[in-house]
Amino acid sequence: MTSNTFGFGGVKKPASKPADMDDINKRIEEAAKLAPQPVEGDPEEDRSLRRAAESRGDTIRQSPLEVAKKVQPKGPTKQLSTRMSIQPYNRFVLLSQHLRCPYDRAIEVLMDAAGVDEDGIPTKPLRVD
Amino acid sequence: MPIIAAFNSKGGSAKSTALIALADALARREATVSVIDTDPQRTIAHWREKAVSSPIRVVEETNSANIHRLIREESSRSAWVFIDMAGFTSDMRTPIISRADLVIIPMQPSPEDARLAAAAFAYIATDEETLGRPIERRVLWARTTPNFVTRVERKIRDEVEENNIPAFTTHLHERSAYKAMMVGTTLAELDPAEYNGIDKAIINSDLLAAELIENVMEIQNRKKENAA
Ligand SMILES: Nc1ncnc2c1ncn2[C@@H]1O[C@H](COP(=O)(O)OP(=O)(O)OP(=O)(O)O)[C@@H](O)[C@H]1O
Ligand SMILES: [Mg+2]
Repeated sequence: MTSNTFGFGGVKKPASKPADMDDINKRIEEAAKLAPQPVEGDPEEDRSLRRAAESRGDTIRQSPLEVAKKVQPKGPTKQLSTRMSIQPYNRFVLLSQHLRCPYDRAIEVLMDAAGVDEDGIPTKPLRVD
Repeated sequence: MPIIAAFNSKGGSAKSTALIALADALARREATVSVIDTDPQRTIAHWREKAVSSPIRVVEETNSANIHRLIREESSRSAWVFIDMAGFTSDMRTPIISRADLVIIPMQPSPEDARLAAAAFAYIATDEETLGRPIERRVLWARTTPNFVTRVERKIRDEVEENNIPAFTTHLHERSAYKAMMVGTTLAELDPAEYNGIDKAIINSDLLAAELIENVMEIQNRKKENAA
């Protein structure tokens, strides 16, 4: 008698476990030396396999990726928070809505437009009154 | 040529974590390793964008019409090809499973996970029918705690054993280092001052990799004998 509370039905026995770490290491090192062995495959057979799977209809079609946004890995980040008067606040929030970008990106866009370099130095005359 | 896929339509069953742990163990020994990420969530692709020092090659494909071509390409570049699947079953399943030397079914010892892992076996059985040949698959116990078995876990394990479901003897234990790795580093890069048990996580993935290798080699030898 085998129990079946969770829905498992038969196959075969698990392998025994090795214990010696040197041995383990050696085994992985050997496996690491393997050269690539390209699999063959018949494109016609592949197509018919996909058709067979499709006609069975037990799966949903996976939607293709949205074009992956090529966002560069950002690296470390820091929190910037500030308290502003309502008027410039609204001006900035609305600008970022118009540009359809988040606040951090909007700040970058503004700095670029103002010609601010990576050391925070204006490369063209700026006025602060 | 080993092609190893992780499948379980239970979301969050540790498919991506298990594959990165295994791929990382091989890559640490300078194996050529590709991971094909077929999950629209891009878990492994995201990991790769951050884990810049890892030599693991990650490619993305979410369209079933391209998957066979991509597997051919990656198998000619890398000796070890891992394929991560989404936490639902899609039209990617049969094409991927048809090429895999081994399908790993990671499973946490909870009743819900057990039921969905059993369902994964049932899906694979349908694929065996379609393909007209057996598919090698193996449960991987994931997120278990060493030296501790709950009553329900015992019950699930007993059922798996009684039904002769093939399973890895090595578990992928619950370790904070694995969680930290998933944020975007290799295990060896983690800072021991910040995370506990990194060395234990490394040994765990090495043991698992060694068991996988032994298994896959056996499977390949069997295939060769059958072909001869
Ligand atoms: N061994 C482990 N130790 C600690 N945390 C883990 C372990 N394995 C997985 N996790 C955590 O569990 C969560 C789910 O893991 P993972 O993303 O690998 O699952 P998945 O099966 O790939 O999920 P999905 O179906 O969404 O693709 C993650 O937050 C991961 O960090
Ligand atoms: Mg995943």
